[in-house]
Amino acid sequence: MRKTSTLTVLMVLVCIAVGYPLSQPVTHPTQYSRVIKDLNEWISGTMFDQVLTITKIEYRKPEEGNRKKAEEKIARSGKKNPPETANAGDRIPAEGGRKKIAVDPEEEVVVTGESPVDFRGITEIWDVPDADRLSPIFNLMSFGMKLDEKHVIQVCGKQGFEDQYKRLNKKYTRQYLCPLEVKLILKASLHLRVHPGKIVLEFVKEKGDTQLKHVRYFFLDEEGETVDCYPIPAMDNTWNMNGVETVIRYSERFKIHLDELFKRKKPGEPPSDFFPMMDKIQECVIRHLTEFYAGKIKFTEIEEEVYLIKFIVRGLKGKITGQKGMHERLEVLLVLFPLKDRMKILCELDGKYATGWAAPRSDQEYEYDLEPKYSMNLHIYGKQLLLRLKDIIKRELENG
Amino acid sequence: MVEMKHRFTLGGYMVVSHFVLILLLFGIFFTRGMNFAEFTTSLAIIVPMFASYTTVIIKFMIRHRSNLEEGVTLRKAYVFLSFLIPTLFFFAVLVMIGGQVFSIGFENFEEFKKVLGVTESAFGVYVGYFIYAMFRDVKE
Repeated sequence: MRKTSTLTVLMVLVCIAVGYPLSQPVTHPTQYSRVIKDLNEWISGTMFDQVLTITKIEYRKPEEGNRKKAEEKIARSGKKNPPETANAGDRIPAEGGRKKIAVDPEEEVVVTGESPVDFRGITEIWDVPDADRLSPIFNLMSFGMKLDEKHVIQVCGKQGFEDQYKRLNKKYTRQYLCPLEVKLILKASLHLRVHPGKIVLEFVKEKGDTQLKHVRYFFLDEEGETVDCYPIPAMDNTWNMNGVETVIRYSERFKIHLDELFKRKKPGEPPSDFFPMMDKIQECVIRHLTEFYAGKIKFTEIEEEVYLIKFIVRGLKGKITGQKGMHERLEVLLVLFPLKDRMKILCELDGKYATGWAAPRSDQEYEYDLEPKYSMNLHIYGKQLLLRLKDIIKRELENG
Repeated sequence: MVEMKHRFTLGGYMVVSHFVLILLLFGIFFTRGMNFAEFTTSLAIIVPMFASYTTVIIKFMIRHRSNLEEGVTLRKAYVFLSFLIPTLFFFAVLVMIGGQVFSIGFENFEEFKKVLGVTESAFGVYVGYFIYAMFRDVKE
């Protein structure tokens, strides 16, 4: 009897000793230090630059059972797949006020809301170091992150980092073909998901935070070239309360550094092989814009190496706001992306307006931001501008 | 000019100029010279600065609605000065509103607000001195 009870106690102790560690999330501390280091550099060097603090990093190896359960839960909650005919960059309003972003039909569509992966585990606090370079996020693959693992990094911004961000963004716009941009994320999560053949980086805005203005995301093809790049202007303050924006999608060549991918072309280098008529198109764009804005346009920056055109339009009256008395001033950045058989134009609009019976004389007199009050109008105007440019370029090419 | 006539004339002039400015602001707002925030802020600054004088004047006029006493004859210099300072005050505010609406002089609305506040303080002493000296018997 005594032996039996001793054995029972021993068995219970053995069970606890073996079962407890197994029940804990699988963690890789050494791997984390490298992941965090790299993410720190990347985050601080691109968009957040010292003003953000990574407050939490969570990681858990996905368990097949949990994922299936979560997927079933999502399926039960009635989320549908986006239509196969969706064009790249289309915004599809999802149920419950959420919005989805559809990409190419073959590509994965990032769905907002609950994740099929169960997150629990490490919670650590990290201060973003002082770094000023664009670090390669793709190196994460070489750190041994497993496929289908998902990492969540919560980042909290501080007030007043916008100016600093703008400065950085300007720098990177000049330096790289495609600036990676996240504006005014005061509180957001950064999800990094590694899939077979691709990495998806997502920014998830937290509930209750209405500061997110817009996220720009881009895709890379297998050669490491940018194939798509879309700015996503905010529709209003609530358009992506739980939204997920795909920021980077990348295929097989994980070890290529981001710096290399967006390396600025050297002066004197011939125009893109893919699109030999690029110079002509650039000329056409400039000429068209000058005509379109009736001479009130002022080009502030034209960089032929990266097909970047930046200009300021003054003296618009009610074109964006729709109110005749308003004087508007637009800062337009156009980046032309030559591809094999087509061209993408990235357009970034930033504007201010002023009131008064007479047109403002100085830039300081335009004192009200168009965003967020007129974000939608700005978005529509930008779209119109791009459509117009598209027509002009098409006509120009047809005419030789 | 006799005293009572002078009081009523100056009082009427002040009240009219006050309402002219308010009407002007409404006109500017409806013709999109100012947006709603600017309009309300301007009203909030201009209305109280004139209201403090016009209230005293209107009270005086109500109290003396049937009093026909003429009072003493006033010196021309006094009459001139008593009209000059409120007129300058009125035109100063008018010019500032014009400057803001036509984008002359002010870089932004904040500057307009500050200058308006300073002007109010500068003229307030002189205008107040005249107004309260002339219409003080209302308080008695």
